[in-house]
Amino acid sequence: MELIEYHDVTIAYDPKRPVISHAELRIPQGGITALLGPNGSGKTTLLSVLNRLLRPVSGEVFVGGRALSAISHRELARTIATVPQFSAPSFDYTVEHMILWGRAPHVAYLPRKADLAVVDQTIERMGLERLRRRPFSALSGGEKQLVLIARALAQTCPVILMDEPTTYLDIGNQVRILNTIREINAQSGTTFLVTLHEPNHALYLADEIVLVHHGAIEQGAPDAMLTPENIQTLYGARAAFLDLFDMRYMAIDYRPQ
Amino acid sequence: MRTKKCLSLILALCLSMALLAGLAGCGAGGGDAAAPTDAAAIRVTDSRGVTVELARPAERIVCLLNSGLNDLLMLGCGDRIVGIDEWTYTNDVTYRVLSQLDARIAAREIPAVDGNLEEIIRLQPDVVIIWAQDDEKISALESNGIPVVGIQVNSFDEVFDKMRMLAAVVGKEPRGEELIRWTQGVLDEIDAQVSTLDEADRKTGIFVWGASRLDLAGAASTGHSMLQLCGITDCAAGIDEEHFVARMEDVVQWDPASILMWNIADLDPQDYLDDSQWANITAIRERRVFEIPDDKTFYSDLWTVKYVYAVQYFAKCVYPDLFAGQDMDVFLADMMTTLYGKTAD
Amino acid sequence: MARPRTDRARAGDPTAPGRGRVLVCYLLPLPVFLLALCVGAYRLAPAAILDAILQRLMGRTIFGPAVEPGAMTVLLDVRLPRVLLSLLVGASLSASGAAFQSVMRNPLVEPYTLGVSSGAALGAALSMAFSLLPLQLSAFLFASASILACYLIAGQRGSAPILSLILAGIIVSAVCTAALSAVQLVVDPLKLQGLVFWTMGGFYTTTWEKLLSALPLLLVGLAAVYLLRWRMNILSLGDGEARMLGADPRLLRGAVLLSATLLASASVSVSGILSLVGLMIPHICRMLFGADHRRLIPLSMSLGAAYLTAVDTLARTLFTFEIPVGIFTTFLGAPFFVVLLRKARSIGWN
Repeated sequence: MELIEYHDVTIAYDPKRPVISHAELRIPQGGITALLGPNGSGKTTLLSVLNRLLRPVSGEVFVGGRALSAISHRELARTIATVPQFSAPSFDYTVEHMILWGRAPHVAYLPRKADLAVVDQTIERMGLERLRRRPFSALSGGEKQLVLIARALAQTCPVILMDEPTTYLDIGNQVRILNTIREINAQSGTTFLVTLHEPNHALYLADEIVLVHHGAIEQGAPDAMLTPENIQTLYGARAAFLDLFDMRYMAIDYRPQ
Repeated sequence: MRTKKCLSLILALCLSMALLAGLAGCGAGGGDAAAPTDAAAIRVTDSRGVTVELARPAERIVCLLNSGLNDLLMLGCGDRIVGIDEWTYTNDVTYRVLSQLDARIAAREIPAVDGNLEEIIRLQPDVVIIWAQDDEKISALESNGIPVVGIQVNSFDEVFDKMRMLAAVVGKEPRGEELIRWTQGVLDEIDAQVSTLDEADRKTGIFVWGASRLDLAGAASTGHSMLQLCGITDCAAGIDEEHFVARMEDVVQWDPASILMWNIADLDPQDYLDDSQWANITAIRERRVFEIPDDKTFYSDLWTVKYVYAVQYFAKCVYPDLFAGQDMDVFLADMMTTLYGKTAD
Repeated sequence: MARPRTDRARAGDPTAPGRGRVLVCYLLPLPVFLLALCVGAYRLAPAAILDAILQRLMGRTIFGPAVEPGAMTVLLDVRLPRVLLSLLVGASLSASGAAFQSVMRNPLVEPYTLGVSSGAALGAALSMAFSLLPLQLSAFLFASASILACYLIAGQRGSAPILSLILAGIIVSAVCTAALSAVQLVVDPLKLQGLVFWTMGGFYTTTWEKLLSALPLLLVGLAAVYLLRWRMNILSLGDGEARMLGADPRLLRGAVLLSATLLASASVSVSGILSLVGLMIPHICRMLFGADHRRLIPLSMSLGAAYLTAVDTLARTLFTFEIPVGIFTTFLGAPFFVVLLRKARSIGWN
């Protein structure tokens, strides 16, 4: 069994109009899986089930071979770490604090020396030393995203979920985040499940692509999934693929059809 | 442009109408009651310092203070009262005793009108007796041409002033002076006894208003006067307040030898005796804590000359030997007969 | 860029504001306590104070002759319970304020924005007017009921948005105040004489009995808030993120709210209404020591205890009569609140 599996999962806010119907999904361990699809296709909804923000109307999700409904909150948080798109804490926590909160699923009463050591290691690894004492709210968008990733790292989970990590970042930060993901995956073998808007990011990152379209799911290798036909079906846009920068690169034809 | 001119014209019209109405209103109110005429037979200066004029002694009186009501009954003018206050009917002790002194009150024939301005006006009284602080009602009554006597009683002297004022209003000044003389007589008798005490035997004390144990009377109050008349040295004489909250530490420092309590709803002498903080105070050790009994509140009314009952009561409690011969029941019967012409239970 | 302080700090805590400052804050209640014992209307020399304690404990004195009963009464039955209660209530109000702020994710919230004060005043008035329940119990029950009412009014599916809560607080306050006015209309004014003074908040009627009656509730509340302090950090991130970090936000929120309510209600039942303490103290602590609740909670308790005791000592020594402490806390707290609103960004809040 794969690390995360969706069996016949239907998710709906309104029972008559399901967002995802009878989905089957297999997320392999140790890889980076990217979810792609147009706005409102249900990418975030798919992930929400893993976060237990939503419950499937039918079907079951399995994590590490166990049914999701049988796993406790804390245990789940020790298995899956989520990097939210934004975090706006009401109090002026420092970067150090924010990363320390990532140890919460492992903390019984108060964080111990071991937890603090993990925080130190994470800060070092992510190169956030100079930001350590800065208030989180004073950071730039890119820096905040890095800190949130660091928090997810400090959570020491085998799986990290990210919902559109690059959408609101400038190009420089996008490059940075994408490479951080790759590094972490390469160094620790952490499984990543990332929703993305930009197919090129998926091409750069992913070992496995999941396409979500009108509630239907299709998954496969990047070359198989990201084809001009699929781009046409998904987005109604014309695309061409070429080899550039050591990878398969997609270019959009912006001219009106 | 035309619309603008129209609008400004209308606006000007409205403003002048409002102005005229305002002037008319000003002209109609105030002043009437206070304009002195030579033909007035009765001139009374009330507690506000306002001179109230009446053509002849009042025959129809609306009295909105219970203490004023009692004064009028003592002056023998109960039948002239056409309106009283609600409290006289709702307070059990007061109603019970007054019912025995006046048949109309017993039958609730006299309407309680203190909440209702229109009712008062409808009764067409010759004068309204009311608390001086009630500015709104007073100006409303005066602007309707009704003479108003505003009363303030902050000291025992002002109790006499009130009696004199009301006696003048009903044209019974001799009776008023008689009542005052009697009261002064009682005080003189008590004083005669108390002044025989030498310094060593004189007790110190505090007067408690409530609601808590530490709500005391200061130097500017009837409570203080009460202590003095009883021959007790007021520990709180240095605090120039009518009613203040004392600090427990001060009380311990003063160590009063007696504690006099007004009739307070949830506070009894036993509360002091049981309280560990007060255990070492002389008044508690020597069990000299006294409260006006529930059934005697009518007779101890500090806003009428009946306050002498309270003085006698406390004086006897604190100096039992000095007043051994004084029987409070006899005193009470005597007081009631003198003041009201009859006794009550 | 290794700073010695940082290295030492790393071993114990990621964010260590000056250790000295922290120590001073923890120790502050002690000198305040001693000073409060020495100061008062009844003159007592420090030596006499020690003697009084020795006399009560061991039956003999060291510094002078036997202490007179008046002095014993003042120190051990008047001052001591009062000072202890103000320490306790100061700590409780501060902890309660910090807890409410973490749950509602808004540093401008304090126990009294949820209708606690009007609820308590109503309870007190009802007790004074109709004597069905003793004053303390009545105030406590109605204060707790107010907070519960706020949550029931504002709650949606287990979580209550902050704005709704504050609006609900306003409604509940309005209703309680109106009910209070109704009671005042119907009841003989003499019965409600004490209400005004009680509403203003004060410790002047503190006895050992009062202290002991509130003690268990306050200790339970303080212990609960203290034990939950780490989790308040997580809770304050919001429900979504808290869940992502493995917490059960509903359970946690319930526990924190219950403890904070217990602290606020029990405090108001013994000391009347003391507003703005629960706002000021956690704020000052955030400014000085950072927003981490692991530090914030115990430091707030400590600073709150010292603050309220100092203010109460001032209230009882400034004039020859008692001034309600609530007046001082409001006059000190209000300008603080105004400055806070204007400088919101720079003081531990976004």
